[in-house]
Formats: sequence, structure tokens, C-alpha cells
Amino acid sequence: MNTVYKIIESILPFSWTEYNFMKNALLAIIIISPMFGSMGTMIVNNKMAFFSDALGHSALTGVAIGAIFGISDVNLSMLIFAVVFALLLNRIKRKKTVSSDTVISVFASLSMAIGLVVLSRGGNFAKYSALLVGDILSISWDEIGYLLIIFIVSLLFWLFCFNKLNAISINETLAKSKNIRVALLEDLFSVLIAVIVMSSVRWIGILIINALLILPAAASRNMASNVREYHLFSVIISLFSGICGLIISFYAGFAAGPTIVIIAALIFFATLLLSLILRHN
Amino acid sequence: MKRKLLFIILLMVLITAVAAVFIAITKDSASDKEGAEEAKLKLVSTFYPVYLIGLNLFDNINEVEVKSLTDLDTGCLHDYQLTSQDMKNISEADILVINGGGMEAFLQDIKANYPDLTIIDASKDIELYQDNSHVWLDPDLYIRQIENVRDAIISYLDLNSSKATGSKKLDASKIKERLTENADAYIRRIEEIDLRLDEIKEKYLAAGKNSAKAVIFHDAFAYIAKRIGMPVAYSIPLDHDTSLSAEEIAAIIDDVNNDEISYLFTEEQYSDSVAKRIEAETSAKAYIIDSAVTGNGSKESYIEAMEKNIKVLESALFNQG
Repeated sequence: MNTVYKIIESILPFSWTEYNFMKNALLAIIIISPMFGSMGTMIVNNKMAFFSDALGHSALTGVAIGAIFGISDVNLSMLIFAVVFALLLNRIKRKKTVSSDTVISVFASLSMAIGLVVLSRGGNFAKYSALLVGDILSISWDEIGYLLIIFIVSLLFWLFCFNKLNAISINETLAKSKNIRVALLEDLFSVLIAVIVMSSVRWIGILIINALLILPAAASRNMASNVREYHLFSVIISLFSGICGLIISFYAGFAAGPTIVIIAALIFFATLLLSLILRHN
Repeated sequence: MKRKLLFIILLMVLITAVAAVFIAITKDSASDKEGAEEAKLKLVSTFYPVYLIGLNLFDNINEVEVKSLTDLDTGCLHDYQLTSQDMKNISEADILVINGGGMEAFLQDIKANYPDLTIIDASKDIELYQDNSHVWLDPDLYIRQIENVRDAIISYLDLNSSKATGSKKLDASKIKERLTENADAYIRRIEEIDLRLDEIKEKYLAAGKNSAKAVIFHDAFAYIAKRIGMPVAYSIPLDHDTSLSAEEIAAIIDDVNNDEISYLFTEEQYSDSVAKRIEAETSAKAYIIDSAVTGNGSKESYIEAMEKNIKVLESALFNQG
């Protein structure tokens, strides 16, 4: 751990790298933002933005459940609830009795409401307000270890399943005819989103975590003309806005999560402008 | 593809440049404030009451800089969340003075990041009343907090003056001498306040009013009530943005009416609408007590707040028509 810190200090001899919590935050961003970038492409493709938003909000109930059952590791209760939430949502969505955005909205509101009811008992919600806007001091060395594991797992998933997922997103019936197990893959993908959202929601903040999944991919989609470009640009934009936002937030005294989102949004608008100009010509 | 990549890179360079300019501008104004003279010993206190101790102990001692970690109007720290700016301030400190008694919930974060930081617990060896960490409102206990901080700083100086060299070298014996003088002077003034509270207590008990109970709207007032022997029927902490439900307020109003509670002690720091509501619906009267957790940064704040409180108590207890 100290060697990693030393390496960062010697590569980046700035005042913000003198602090261990900033080094932790930097490492977390370097690991997590490429994941957000690449997952985001598929979320945007499949029009799942609302789904991932609902997942982020479910973190509140995860924390509440942890508080009720006295689970000391909040990460664990958040993760378990989010996975259950994602699978349940997928199952109901497949029944196709109501339109999927309605189902998601019902789930999102319910989980928010449960979380708020439990956490505001006795008027103590202020204790949890850090969850909403995020707290980069909460990144510990152990969490970086978890992030690394999640990173490797999602990389493997991406390597083996991306083409199949892409096929499903282009045409579900076609994918089925190619013997692709649509339901299983969708579930796996949802669980993966749940895991990466929960792994970083505490320091990015419930209110804005979805923006980090959506914005880099959306910005990249404005410019990309094939899947490879789409991915590459999204990862670059995600990584850049993460690191840039972190550093600005340190010097300016802003909250880190929102600063990152603002940078990503600026890039989105710039690429949108570019695509409009290109189309016009 | 290459042109698009180029566009992204240009965009990133542009954003970085704008950010760098922005940071440079904000940083310039910040470094101007710091001033030329570097204090040799930096003491950071977590919030107002302990900041006042530091301010008074190091009055006219230029070698020591006293800073408050949180803004002076933060108030009680119950759910305070550290910012990265706070962590920066702590990293520059030699000593961190905390109120202790569980007031600083974020202490774990600090200890994890700065294991070598000297932390002085002002409430060391002070027995908390009902797990209440707002001990400074009892002047007697406040004096003990002052003594705790004084002793801890003296032993810090003893320990470190031999090690320190160069620009960090302090004239420890001179500082210790003036520190002790300052502490004695400050303690004497607080003892006067303690005496005046004693008088109130005697008059209050002699008047046989000790059946009249009080409702307090801040945990801190428990210490004042205890000091003058006034029984507290309810403690309704209105710190944080608690909103009591209508049912709870109704229950309190009923109890105030049945129990013959005469005093509602609320405070300026938080909204006093609940106390006002209860006052309007019952025969009890609301009085504003200053818990000395916010102020204008003057070192007299604690004494001024307590003098105000004494006046409020006198008018509440003895001048009721």
C-alpha cells in the first residue's frame, strides 16, 4: 500500500497527492471510470438509463436494511439488496404486462420510500445525507481492493459476453435464433451494473451516480461511427472527467462527484455540438 | 477516427486549461490570506467551544496559531461530515483539540488518515451526565476542560521541544509560562460566572420553585438545568433538521399542560418554531439560551454567552409578574 502511494507521489508531485485520501480517490477513479465508460455504452444502447438510475436510488433501501438488521458493513447490505432489486425488476419486466418504464418507476419510488421511512425514523436523516451527495473520504484501502476484483470480473464478462449482449440489443429474436440465452445474459448484465453502482455510490452520491454511467457513453455516441470507437471514446471521456473533476474539486473545495458530472456534461454538450455541425455539412 | 480522437484530445486540453486557470485564480486569493509570518505551532480545534479555549489560552502568544476546523457558525458537530478542505487543514496542524465525549463522530476518519497527529481530548476524565457531551455549559466542567487542554499542551511542549530543530524550534519555557498565566486568568473569569450560577441556584431553591420543571430544546441545556438544580421533564434535541411529527408535538403539549411545566428553554442556533408553538398552546414560557456553539469569533464569546444566559435565567425564574 505504501509503495503504491510512493509511486503516485513520485509520478504526480502535486500538493493534492500528499493526502492519502486523495490517493485513494485517484486509484478508485482510475479503476472505476473505465468500467463506467464501457458499461455505459451498453446501457445507452439498450435504453437502460432509467433502470440504472433506479438501481442507484435503491442504495438508500440497502443502507436502511443494513441499519435494521444491524449489518455493520453497509456495502454488503447495499449490494445484496441491489442485486435482488435488479433481478426482480428484470423478472417483472419480462412479463410485459405493464410498460417497462412504469415498472422501473414503481420500483424506484418504492425503494426510495422504504429507505426514507427507515432512515428518517427519529428525525435522524441528516446522518445519511452524505449518501446523497457522496463523500470521497469514505474510500478506504480495502474498498480499492474490492474495486479491483470487480474490475477484473467485469473485464472478463465484457470479453466473453459483449458480442452476445450486442446481438440482443440489436435484435432479441435474432439473438434467440442464434442460441443466445437472452434472459440469463440480461440478468448477468443487470447484476454487474448493480455491483459497480453499489461499489461506488457511497463516494459519488446517490443523486448523481447515474450520470457517470450515462454521460460518457452518450457523449461518445454523438461522435462514434462503430462499436470500437464508441467504446474507446467513452472510456477516455469517463477517465478524463473522473480525474479532472477530482483534482478541481480538491483545489476548489467542491464535492467530487458533482464536479466529475459537470465535466462529463460539458464534454457531452461539446460532442453534441460537433455532431450537429457535422450533420449540417 | 483520428480526427475524432483529435477533437476529444483538444477538448480535454481545453477543459484542463480552463480548470488550471480557475484553480490558479482561487489559489492566489487563498495564499494571500495566509500572511507572511508562519506560526511555529499550529493548533486546530474542532468547533467553537474548544476553539475558544485555544483562543484564550494562546492569547498574545504569536508562536502559536489557533484555528477552528469547522466554520464558526457550524454549531454542534453531531452529524458533521468532513470535507477534503478540513482534511487539508488537519494535515497542517500539530495538535488537534477535540471536545470529546462522542461529539466528534468523524474522529475515526482523522485517526485513520493521520495516525501520528496529537489529539487532545478536552473532556478527558470528565464524567458525562447522561452521555451528554455538551459539558462546557457547566462552568465548573468548562474549567476542567481548560485545565485538560492546558496540561496536555504543556506535556506536548515538554515532549517535542527537545526533538524540534531549526525553524520549528520553540521557546517552550516561555510559552508554557504565558500559557499558564492565560489559563489562570481565563479560569478566574469563569469562576465568577460559576459563582453567579451558584447564587441563582440558592435563590431558586429558596424560592421553593423546584417543582416547576423545564423542557429543553437542546441537549446542552441539561448541564445548565442540572447546575441550578432545575428538573428537566423533556429533552427535545432540535439539532439537525429534525422535524417532529405533529403527534409528538401534541403529546408534549399535553404533558406540559398536565405536568405544570413552566419553562421552555430553546436556543438561537436552530429554529425555535416548535417552542413557540408549545408556548402558544400552553401556559409555559419560552426562553432563549445561548449554548455558545456559534459566535463571532471573539475570545470573549463564552463569557458573553453565559452572562446573557444568567440574565435570561434570572428573568425566567424570579421576575415572572
